[in-house]
Amino acid sequence: MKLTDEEKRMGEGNQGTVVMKFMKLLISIGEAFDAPRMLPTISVHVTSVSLATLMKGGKHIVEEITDSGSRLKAFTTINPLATDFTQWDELGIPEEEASEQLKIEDSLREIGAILCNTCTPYLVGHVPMFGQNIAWGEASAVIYANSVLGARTNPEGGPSGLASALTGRTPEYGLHLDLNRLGEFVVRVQTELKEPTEYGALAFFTGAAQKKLIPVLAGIPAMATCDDLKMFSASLHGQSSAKIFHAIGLTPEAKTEEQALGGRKPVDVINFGNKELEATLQTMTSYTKQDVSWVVVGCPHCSITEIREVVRVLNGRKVHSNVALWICTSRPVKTLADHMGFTEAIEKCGGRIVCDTCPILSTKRTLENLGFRSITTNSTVMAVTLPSILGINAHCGRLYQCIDAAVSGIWR
Amino acid sequence: MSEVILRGHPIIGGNVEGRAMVSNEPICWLLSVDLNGLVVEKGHSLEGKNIAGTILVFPTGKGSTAGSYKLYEMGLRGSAPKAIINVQADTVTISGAVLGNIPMIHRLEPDPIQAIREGDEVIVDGDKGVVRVIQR
Repeated sequence: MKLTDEEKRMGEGNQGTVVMKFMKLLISIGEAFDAPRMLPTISVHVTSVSLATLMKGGKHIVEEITDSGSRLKAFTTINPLATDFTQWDELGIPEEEASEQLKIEDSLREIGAILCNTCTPYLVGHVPMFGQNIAWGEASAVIYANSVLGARTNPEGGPSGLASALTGRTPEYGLHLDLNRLGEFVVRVQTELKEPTEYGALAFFTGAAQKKLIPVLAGIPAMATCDDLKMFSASLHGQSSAKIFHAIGLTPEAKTEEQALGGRKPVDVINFGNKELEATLQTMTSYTKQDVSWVVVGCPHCSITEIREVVRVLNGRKVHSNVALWICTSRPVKTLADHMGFTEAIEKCGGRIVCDTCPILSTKRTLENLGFRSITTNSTVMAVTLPSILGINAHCGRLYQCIDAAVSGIWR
Repeated sequence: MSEVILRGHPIIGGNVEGRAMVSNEPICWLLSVDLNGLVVEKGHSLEGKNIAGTILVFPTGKGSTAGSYKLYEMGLRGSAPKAIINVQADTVTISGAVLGNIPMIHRLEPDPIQAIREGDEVIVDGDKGVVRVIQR
């Protein structure tokens, strides 16, 4: 790997032992993947910052950076944490875990991270430009950044993300290279998709059909929203190792099918019609009983548009006394929801807006403390992953179906 | 008893020796093993075995990027492998191994999964990318 003088010096320790260790980490990764050089990067999204994924080892690393005096060079945002600091008690998080997580957040603030605590940094001002080389973690955000924004990133783990943030570099391999971004198979969408949940089902179907190949979607309406593609990005990850997709006529590297495929023939062409949509959605419900205890909207974190839609569908109806309704989002979006009166409208109905965290990062103890028996959600990705992570089963359906379940306490 | 030499691409330096543990399946640091080194993934070819202190041979890592910190923490607890030998290394395993100073080599000839058997004595030179296997 060819390094600049500055990069060599960083690797030799001229900026301290912490920068040296992380530069070595990037060099090791680069050499293992035959990267010819490092790329400068100014945009990093760091994952694995919650207590659950950081563990003692990661906490030790973050503290080591803080104590060393080294500070992050790139603009750096962070993924959700283990709890919402304004209501950890109501969310069933033990005090010692909340205070431990608060200490980690303090360290991250001190080294220069922006504490948006969200899986959707692109909704709160972290928006890299087309073609820029970035270093993001969080699979759903990685897929969104590569596909929808046209920025270029490999899926970075916690340590490699911190390494890029500290050095302002990322090795040139994988999705930084044109050839590795081209579509490989085509999905012809033959039904009119109407909301994020349906896009999530399409992603699940797409990823299950070809688990390693890059999909090209044909027939996505020009009016698809960023919420739709946000859910598609998150749900593709659950099934496929592809970290980019293309939607012809919509995403920036797919003006035509030919461009999306780089002029090559697709390895496979599959169809997704109404029958496939309904069948896929049905497979996502793993909880066979009708009782509802926990309804969650906001995985990935809600945009302001999605929160407005919750208010519209709720329409003043009260949440059933045996049900908890959580709307998960980032704190900046909640601030806007407060200002718009959406927070008050949801709270008046008995729902709750939850920030900074995600049910996937809950511990089993949280569920036991709050007595949740299952999850009811419009998120296809949560419905598929929570059974294996938290050991509870899911109802998965469109937004109106989830909100109706929150009001009646019954899944229909 | 016979000796085989494997040569590959060094990733993380260091000289160690130990007994081999060989998996023909990828390992997910977050879910395949517990913090004591016990393989807990249902149906995994190493299920029920302990990888702590072994020279661990496997094709590549898989799954959650959160696995890097897990591997590092296993190192702090003394339950990580002594060295890692991959067919093709992945980012999650490299990151955890760099933080934990675990010697690591990949792209070896001949194929380590065929050439190394569980229990073989293995001498790893992570600086040169050379592995000496004393077959039982």
